[in-house]
Amino acid sequence: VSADGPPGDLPTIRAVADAVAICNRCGSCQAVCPVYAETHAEPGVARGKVQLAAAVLSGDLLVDRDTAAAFATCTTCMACEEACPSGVPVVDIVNAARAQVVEARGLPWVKRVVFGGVKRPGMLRAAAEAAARLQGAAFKPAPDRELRRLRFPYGLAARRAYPPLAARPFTHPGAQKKAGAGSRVLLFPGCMVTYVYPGIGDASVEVLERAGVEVVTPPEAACCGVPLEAHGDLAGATELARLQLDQLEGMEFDALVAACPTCTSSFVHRYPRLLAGEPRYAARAQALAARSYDITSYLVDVLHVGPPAGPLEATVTYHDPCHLARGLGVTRQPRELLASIPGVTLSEMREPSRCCGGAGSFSLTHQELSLAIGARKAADIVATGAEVVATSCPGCRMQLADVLAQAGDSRPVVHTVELLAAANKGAAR
Amino acid sequence: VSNDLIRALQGALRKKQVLTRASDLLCYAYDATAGEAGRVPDVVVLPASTDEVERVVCIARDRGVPVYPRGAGTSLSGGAIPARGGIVLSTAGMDAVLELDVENQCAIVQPGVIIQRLDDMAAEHGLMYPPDPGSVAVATMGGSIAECAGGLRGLKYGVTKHYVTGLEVVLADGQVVRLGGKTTKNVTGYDLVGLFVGSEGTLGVITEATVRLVPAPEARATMTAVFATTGEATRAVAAIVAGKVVPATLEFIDATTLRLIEEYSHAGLPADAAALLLIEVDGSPEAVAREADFVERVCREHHGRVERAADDEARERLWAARRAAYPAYARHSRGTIVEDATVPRSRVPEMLAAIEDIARSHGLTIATVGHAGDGNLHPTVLVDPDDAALMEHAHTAIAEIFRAALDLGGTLSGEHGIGSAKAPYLGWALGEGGLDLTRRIKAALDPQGILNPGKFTE
Repeated sequence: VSADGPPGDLPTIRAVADAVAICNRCGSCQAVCPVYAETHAEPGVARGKVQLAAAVLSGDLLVDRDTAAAFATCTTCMACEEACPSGVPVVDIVNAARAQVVEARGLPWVKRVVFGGVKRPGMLRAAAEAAARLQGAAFKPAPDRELRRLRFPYGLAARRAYPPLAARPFTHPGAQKKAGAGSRVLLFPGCMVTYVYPGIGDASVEVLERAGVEVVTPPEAACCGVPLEAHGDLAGATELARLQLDQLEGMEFDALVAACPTCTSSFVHRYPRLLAGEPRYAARAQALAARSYDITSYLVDVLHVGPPAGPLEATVTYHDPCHLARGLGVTRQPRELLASIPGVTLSEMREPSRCCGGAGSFSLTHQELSLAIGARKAADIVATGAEVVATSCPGCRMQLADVLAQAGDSRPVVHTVELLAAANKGAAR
Repeated sequence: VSNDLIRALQGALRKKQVLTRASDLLCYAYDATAGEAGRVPDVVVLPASTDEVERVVCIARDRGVPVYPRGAGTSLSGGAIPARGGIVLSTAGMDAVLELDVENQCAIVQPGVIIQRLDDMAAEHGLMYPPDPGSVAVATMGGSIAECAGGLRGLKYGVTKHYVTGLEVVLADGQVVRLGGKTTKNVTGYDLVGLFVGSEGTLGVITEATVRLVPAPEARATMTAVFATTGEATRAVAAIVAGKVVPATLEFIDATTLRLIEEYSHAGLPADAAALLLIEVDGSPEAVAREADFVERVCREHHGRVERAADDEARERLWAARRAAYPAYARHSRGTIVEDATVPRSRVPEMLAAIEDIARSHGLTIATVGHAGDGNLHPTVLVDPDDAALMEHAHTAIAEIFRAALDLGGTLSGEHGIGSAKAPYLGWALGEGGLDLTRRIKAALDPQGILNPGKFTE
């Protein structure tokens, strides 16, 4: 298929043709779509995107730049899937359409260069470490926050405030061999924890070890591949899926646990799907999926951890990450953990599982929309009066910190496991 | 597409308010109507004020270009589909609640306000906005007024037209008129507000509405009754109404629907159930207790197995069956043609029998839920849109359903409107005189025929 040319065979989007046909255009998705709430325009909502996919399939719409832009305007928060009376798998359709765009048009050169680096863990590490050293030249501290703004504002990025890259990426020396230890967990850190929030990694190790579990980490902190799939680079995402399985091959562990629900859902849902047709990998991906957990669900459902030792006097409000709440069905466990901390009072925000607008690189490619969606979340958080914001996703944490800063608010945003670790530390002190 | 049109619109609005990309236009070629082929508009505009709507209509008027007003695009009779190209004018972005007047129990809203949002805001003051079409969580006030939407509470609370007391409308010639106001009583001249309610965008673009709110009931009681025969269920409905009890909701679910719901949700509905009634009474606690007891007794007398909700959780469970009907259809069949033929309520049993006969004679699956109390039935033909022969049968069956409803003293549409989907049958209901009057009104207000062409007025 040539760029902007006739539709031809379009195998990738053809694979979701049956899913596209299920939509009967009732429009129920409008009620929950965070993008539609800002734009009030049909191309933003699932019904519009599914009809665009139908138009691509029927040859009424070319796979051109505009089509690519339409499918890119989605946070893949899955709220539409939950609200859909017909059960249309919208995110599968959006991802297939994005992949079809890349197949037909190729990746833009910037993404080619970036994803090329992401696919090589060594290069990713070197780039992140160099960036951590050099970031002072590009960013200046934002007032009152542990965030930074671009020194030389470029376009809308001028408005965003990001945390600095960690001076020291997350690493874990590996388990101390302990006789009679309980189960052994492979903690999959993921890029955000490794390079931006190593504290989440440290806290994960702390709470897991305190629960009597041995913690090991993968040899290389490679990307799970979601950012590539989200941009339609299916081949790159599949390559990373294989890389992950290869590097974990031969390692002994009872469960794979991650503190990033997007990484977790890669192991639980994406790898079995991406590798279904590959005899070398399919069975392994299935087996790994069955013992992969979000850290909060592992702590509650498998380890049945008790309350942390120490008190932590705070009102806490909890934001449900999309990929955890809808992707993995985990909403009860983080709340149980938070409520178990002596001194913590949970104060629920309005629509806690509404998308924060972060959605990974969506926050960069669609900054204005991302900030507008986030502003609603910030208002909902502020309205609770809670002193601390907890969530269970490093990506959400970054977005929430940014949008609260934009709203002139300085309450801290932390990962659930960080609060647990802090409560333990408080008791130890 | 004339570049002149696009340029003029871009000059009148901000750039982001004028959509021209193929991918954008395709998203405005449809509404929620099954099997109605749309046409891609030439341009979509997203005005943010009455002023901007006026400018768009003037540009269209000067060029004789069609304008299709649109809200959430959830209409079920093709009302929002751009039949011949031109300008789709979406008022979805005009979504301010301008005033919530608690003292006078009314609200002034822009057309893009979602119905549910208004009702939620009213609830904060112990009030409610009763019209609640199935799409209440997404449908706009402008769209629902233009379509005169009904809903599940129609029997007791009426439909949209009973709540609209004032409108601001941009006419086809670009003139802005303000009609009616906050008062319940108003006989100052013609009922011009009423003229635009249910006009389906063919007479003007609604840019503001004043609607009545009513006190929210203090209490309610909910129950379901399962019957082994359709006859017992419909006789129970008649007995409830004869007892001078007016439930807020009196929903009928037929055997086909019950079977599909069971397949879809495994809710544990009895396998031999031929009909289910979902009944809700509301009002003061004393009246609710009395009426609920009466309804329960009537259902039992007609051999209904009654389950009465003890609390909100149980109420949700009882409602779940009714809410599952549409998803159950959608998961059973790729195409669902929902009709809303309506008969005087005493004729409901005959209408149900007629629907069954029609389904059988065409070898179709027609599942029916309905607002039994007000005679508004929703026979839903389950189809495969790609099966041409089946679709042919479906359309013949639908025509026969309309004929049957009219023969029983009913009408084509209780709450979905005529749009393009039922336009061919309008003459059956209105006769030559009625059709002629309709066309004369249309010609008087929109002589060029630029407002929502291709619909029932032609």
